Amino acid sequence: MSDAICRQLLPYLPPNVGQAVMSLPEAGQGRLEELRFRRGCELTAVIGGVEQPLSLERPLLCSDQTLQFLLNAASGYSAYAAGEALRQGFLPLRGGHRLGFCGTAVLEQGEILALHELSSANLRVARACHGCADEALRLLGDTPGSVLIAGPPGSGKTTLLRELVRLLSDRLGRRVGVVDSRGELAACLNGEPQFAVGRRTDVISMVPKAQGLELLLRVMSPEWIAVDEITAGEDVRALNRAGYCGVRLLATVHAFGPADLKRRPLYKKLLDEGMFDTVLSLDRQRQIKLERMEKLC
Amino acid sequence: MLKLIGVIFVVLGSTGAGVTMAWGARRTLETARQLRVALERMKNEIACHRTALPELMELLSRETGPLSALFGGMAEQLRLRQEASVYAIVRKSLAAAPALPGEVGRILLELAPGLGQYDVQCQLYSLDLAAGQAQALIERCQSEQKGRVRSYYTLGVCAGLALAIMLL
Repeated sequence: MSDAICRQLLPYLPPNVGQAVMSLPEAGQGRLEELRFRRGCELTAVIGGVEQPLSLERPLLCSDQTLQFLLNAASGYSAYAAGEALRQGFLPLRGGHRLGFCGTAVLEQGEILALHELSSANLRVARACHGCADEALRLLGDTPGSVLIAGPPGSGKTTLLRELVRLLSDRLGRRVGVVDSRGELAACLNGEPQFAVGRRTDVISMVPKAQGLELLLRVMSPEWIAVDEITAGEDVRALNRAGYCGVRLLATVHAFGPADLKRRPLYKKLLDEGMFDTVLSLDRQRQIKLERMEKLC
Repeated sequence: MLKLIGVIFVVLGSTGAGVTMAWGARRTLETARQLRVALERMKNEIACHRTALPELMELLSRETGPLSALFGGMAEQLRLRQEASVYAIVRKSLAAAPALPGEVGRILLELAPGLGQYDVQCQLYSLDLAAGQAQALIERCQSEQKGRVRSYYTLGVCAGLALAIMLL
């Protein structure tokens, strides 16, 4: 399995870097999280949370050509076609992986038009986590109401959300709409989700959450709508409108638990308006705890 | 009898040389016209659909004409992702198509460094420049064709006859 994921990366890597990745021990390949490229510096790999040199035999240095190769390979030599994703500093890859770039921004009217003079890149390796939402779905039951997933950064909220979307779609047969604003939930490439999100799931990508919600409601008649990371008042208002249309909601927020949720004004609004029936809290060990909303308010 | 056969071969040979030069001029014109149309299509695809280069070259390769095979080769190279840049791919593809007129190859090589880079506006600007060069080449070929192509035929035949007379 780990070899298969590393092989997915090979078309996007310079040949010598690809060889170094495939030369990693099998255990290392299985725990590969990131490949980091910094201009003028040695290439490193993040394995099991620890950043280390990619090649111990012979240091591999990142040059301007290395970064340009990465950009060309990831964009199909068509940076202009990458559009919004590249303006946000990343390119989606086949398999759900993601290549992020840093460089000098070109601004137009205060907005990033393009990145040039690339200085570093980060290839984040995606790994599906089938089965990680089984326990959550068991807790929620066969007819779950709207669910809010709360947890600190790195607790697996997006992974859990994605899996719940897939289970709602495939196991419970629900029509699910996904607003994938940052391209992390479904990671669509050429219109094809790179993660399994379910046979009855419609995805709109790289669009602000409020606009995505409106569009899904108008044209796709979803039974559920999933969004990742509610961070703004207009997201909350859009969710509210969706809720009034009879759609069940599935969303994530950054919070260290129900108490933290109640302390933050934006999230307190979510609780007070009763948009969600259940809160699933995640901790850093990815343990799930279920709270009914009537207990929290 | 042998002299007559020799005369015939000499006349045919020089006429053939003249015809080849005339065909060469026609081929340059035909290729430049196909290039002009291709550049216009690239502009539309990029401006309206943000079509990526591999798909774009694939589309262009489906048109009939001297450049179709070149575009097909470029589409394949772009999909393989083994070259460092679009310029390297264009140069490699042109090297594999020696029959293409040099002037057309030069336009493509000048366009190549900017292709795929930067944003849509830069792409459209580069394509406009290349289209202007292609149009200038078309006009030059057309004005040459009127005068020179007939001359090539005539010179070919006359040179053959003159040589034949000298040999006789």
